Amino acid sequence: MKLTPTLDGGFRIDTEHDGDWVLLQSIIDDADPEKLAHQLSESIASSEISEDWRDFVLPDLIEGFNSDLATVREALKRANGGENPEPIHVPPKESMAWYSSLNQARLNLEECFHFDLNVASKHEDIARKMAFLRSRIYLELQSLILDRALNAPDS
Amino acid sequence: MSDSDTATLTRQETSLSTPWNVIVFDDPVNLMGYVTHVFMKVLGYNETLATKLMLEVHEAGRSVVWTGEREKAEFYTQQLQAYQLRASLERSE
Repeated sequence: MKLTPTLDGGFRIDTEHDGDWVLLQSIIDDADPEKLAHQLSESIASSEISEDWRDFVLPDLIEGFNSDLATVREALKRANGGENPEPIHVPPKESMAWYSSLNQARLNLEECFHFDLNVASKHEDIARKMAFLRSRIYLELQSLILDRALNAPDS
Repeated sequence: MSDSDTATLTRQETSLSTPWNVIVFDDPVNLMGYVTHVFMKVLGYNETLATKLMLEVHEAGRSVVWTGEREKAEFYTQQLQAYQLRASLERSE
């Protein structure tokens, strides 16, 4: 997979084999917008506020996270992964949705597996090992998006 | 003053409402550069201050990133959560 910054301030993703498509689809599967929104809402410890937060803010968080995932899902659909996949063009206005979706996926994987970087190579469980690898690749993609798209002067 | 007159007393009261703190907690996932980026975007801080607060979150586990009136504190907290940062608010002591 290649991720290349574009002149308009966005980026494009070129897949090189089927595994890249599986990985990109995994972003959607690994993320859990509703769970993340609930976890963030639970950060509000003050009983004075927490009830209103659940009623008014939580639905907005869920909607926002779902909307970001929908942007990625739509981009993958447009690129038509399969025999002759198209490059995925991500315009600057969608960079944040990609970053958000990758972050949602990583937050959920971390929540499920509690990775320990010091013992990463010793993971016996194949599902855990695969999840760790996906998490590392998502992190690399996020770093590129942050450096090349989100931190660009006009972003 | 006759019996039918109404006396009006004016009393001035000054009430200072307690300020609220917006707090951000450390987490094992969010990139340090991203947290700095969000502080600049949401709170309007310059890069130096945003980086200083990000490092405080990272090293101390939490940081008070803004203090002020409740409505604005709620708004900032909501925005920070929308960017997937673990943020909360509490009354300032």
